[in-house]
Amino acid sequence: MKKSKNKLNKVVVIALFVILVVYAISMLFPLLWGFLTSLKSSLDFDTLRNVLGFPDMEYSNDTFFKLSNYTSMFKDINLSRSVSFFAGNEEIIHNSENTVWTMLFNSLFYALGGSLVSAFVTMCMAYLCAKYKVKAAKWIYGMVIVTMTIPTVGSYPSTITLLRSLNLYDSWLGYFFQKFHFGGMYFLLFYAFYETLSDAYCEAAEIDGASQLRIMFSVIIPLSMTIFSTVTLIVFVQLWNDYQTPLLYMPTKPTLAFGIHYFTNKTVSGGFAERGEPGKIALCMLLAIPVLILFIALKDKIMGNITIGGIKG
Amino acid sequence: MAEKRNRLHHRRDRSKKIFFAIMVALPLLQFAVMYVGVNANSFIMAFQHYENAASGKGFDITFAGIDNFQEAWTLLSEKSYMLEISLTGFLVTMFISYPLALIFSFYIYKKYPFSGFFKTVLFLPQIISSLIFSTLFKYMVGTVYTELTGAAMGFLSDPDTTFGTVLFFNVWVSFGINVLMFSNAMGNIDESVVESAQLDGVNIIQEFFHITIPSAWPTVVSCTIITVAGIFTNQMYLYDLFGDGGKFEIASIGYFLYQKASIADMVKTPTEPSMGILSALGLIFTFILVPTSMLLKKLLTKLGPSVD
Repeated sequence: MKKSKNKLNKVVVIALFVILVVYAISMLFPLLWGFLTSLKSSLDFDTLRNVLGFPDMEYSNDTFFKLSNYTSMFKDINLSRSVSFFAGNEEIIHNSENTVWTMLFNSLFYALGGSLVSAFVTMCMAYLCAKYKVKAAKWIYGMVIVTMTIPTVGSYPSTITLLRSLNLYDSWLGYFFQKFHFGGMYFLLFYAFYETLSDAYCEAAEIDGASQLRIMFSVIIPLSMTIFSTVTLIVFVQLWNDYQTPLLYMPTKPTLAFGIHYFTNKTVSGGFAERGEPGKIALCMLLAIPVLILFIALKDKIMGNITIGGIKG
Repeated sequence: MAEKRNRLHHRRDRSKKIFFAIMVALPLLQFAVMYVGVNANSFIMAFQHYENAASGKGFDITFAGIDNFQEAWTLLSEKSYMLEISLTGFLVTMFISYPLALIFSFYIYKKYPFSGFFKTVLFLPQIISSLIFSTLFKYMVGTVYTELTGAAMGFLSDPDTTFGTVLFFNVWVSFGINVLMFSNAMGNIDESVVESAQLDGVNIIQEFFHITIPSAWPTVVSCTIITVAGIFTNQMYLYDLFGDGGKFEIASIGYFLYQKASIADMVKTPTEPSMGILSALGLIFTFILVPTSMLLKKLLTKLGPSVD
C-alpha cells in the first residue's frame, strides 16, 4: 500500500517536472532567439533567411560586434506625433518629435513617477483608513471594496472626453492626477499590514508631542518601507511595460513601449526601418533588458509575499 | 486635572480629524473625477448625440433618447461572435489556466526539484511586456515555424488555426501572478494537517484535492471574481498580437472597445461608431456584469470545497 503510494507520488512529480521543463524551454527559447536575432543584420536574417542559426559574421559583423542595430535606433528613430481635440469650444493641437532618448525619458518619468505617486497615495490612504477612528475611514474602505467588486466596462470614451474638458488630456499633470487612485489589491495589502501594526508606536509618538504628519513620516512610513518598495517595484514594472494607457490618454508623449508598439505594428519605411526584422527585435530587447536586470537584482522583493485572500463585502 | 486631560484629548482628536481631511482630499477628488465623474459621464454620453458645430468649433449636443442603445444593440447583434470569443476566453482561463496554475503552484509549494527556478520562469510574463512576448511569439509561430517545417503560412496567418493560437498564447503567458498568489496562499497551510494526512496514507493527488485546493479556495474565489469582472474588458492580448489592423473576426469585446475608443470620434462616421454608442455598449455590459459577478461570488463561497 505504502509502496504503491510512493510510486504514484514519484510518477506525478516526474510528470509535473517534465511539463514544467517544457514550459521553461518554451519561455526562454524565444527570449534567447530574440536576443541573437537582434544581433543579426537585415541581409543575414531577412534576405538570406538565417532565421535559426547564429549570426553569420560575413554579413552580421557590424550588428554583432558593434551592436549597430542598438546604436542606430538612437540616431535614426524619430517618431512624430500629433493630436487635435476640443476642450469646450477651444481647439487644442499638440505636436511632438520623439527620438529613442525622448521615449526613454518619458518611460522613466512615466514608470518611476507613476509608481512612486501611486504606491505613496495607496499607502497613506490605507494607513488613514486602518488607524484613524473616523467615520469617513470606514466609508472610504467600503468604497474601495465596492469599486473592486463592481465592474465597469467601456469607460475609455468617457475618460477621454472628461480629461479633454478638464484640460488634462495628453498632459503629465493629467497623468499624475490619475495616479492619485488608491483602490485595488495594493490598498488591501497595505490595509492588512496597518491593521496588524500595534497602536503603541503612534501612541508613544503622540505622548512625545509629535504631530500627525511627523508620526506618519517618522514612524509609519519607515515601518512600511518593505511593502512600499515591493509595491513600487511591481507598479514600476507594470508601467514600464504599459503602452496602451499612453496611447489612449497621452498620444504625443510616447513611452518606449508605445514607440515599440508603433514600430512593430505599422509599416514604416526608410531610416531605422532599413534594419528590417532584427531592428524591430532589437527595439523589443531594449525594452526588456532594463526590467530583466531589475528583476534579476530584486527577484525576491518583487516575488515576495504578495497574496490576496477572500474579498469581504 | 481631568478637565485639562479632556481638553488635550479633544484637541488631539480635532488635529487628527483635520490631518485626515487634508490627506484624503486629493485622492478623494481623484476618485470623484476619475471614478464617479467618468461613470456618470459614460451614462450621460450614452444618451447624447454629438454633431460638429456649425461654427466649426466644438460640438452641438442633443438628447439622443435610446438611439445609442439601439445602435449598440444592432452592432452587438451583427458582431455576436465577439461575445462568444470573450466567453471562450473566460472559460479557457477558468478551466485551463487556473487549474494549470494551481497544479504548478502545488509543485512550487511542495518545494519539489528546481521549484525556485520554475517559479521565476512562470513569473517572467509578469516582468517582460506582453508586447515583447507577443512579438516574439508571432515570430515563433510564423517565421520560425515556416522555416523549420516548410509550411506555407504560420499559425496566426492560417484562418483555421488563428483563434486556437490566440487561446494558446493566453494560457502560455497567464501563470505569473496566479502562481504567485496560489503558491503563497498554499504556503499558509498548517503543516500538521498535511503531516497527519500523510500518516493516514493520503497520496499526493488526494492531498492536492482535499487539503491544498480547499485551503487556497478563498484566493481562487477572489481571482475568479476578478476574472469575471474582466470578461468584457479582457483584450485577450489581441491588441498586442494584431494592433489596430486586428482580425475582427476574432475580436473580443475588450479588444473591440479599446481599439474603437482609440480611434473613435465624438461624431459617428459611416464606418466607426461614435463615443456615445461605445458608452452605451459599455453600460449594457456593466449591467450584465454587476449582478453576475455578485451572484457568482456568493455561489463560489457557498459551494466551495472545505478541508476534510
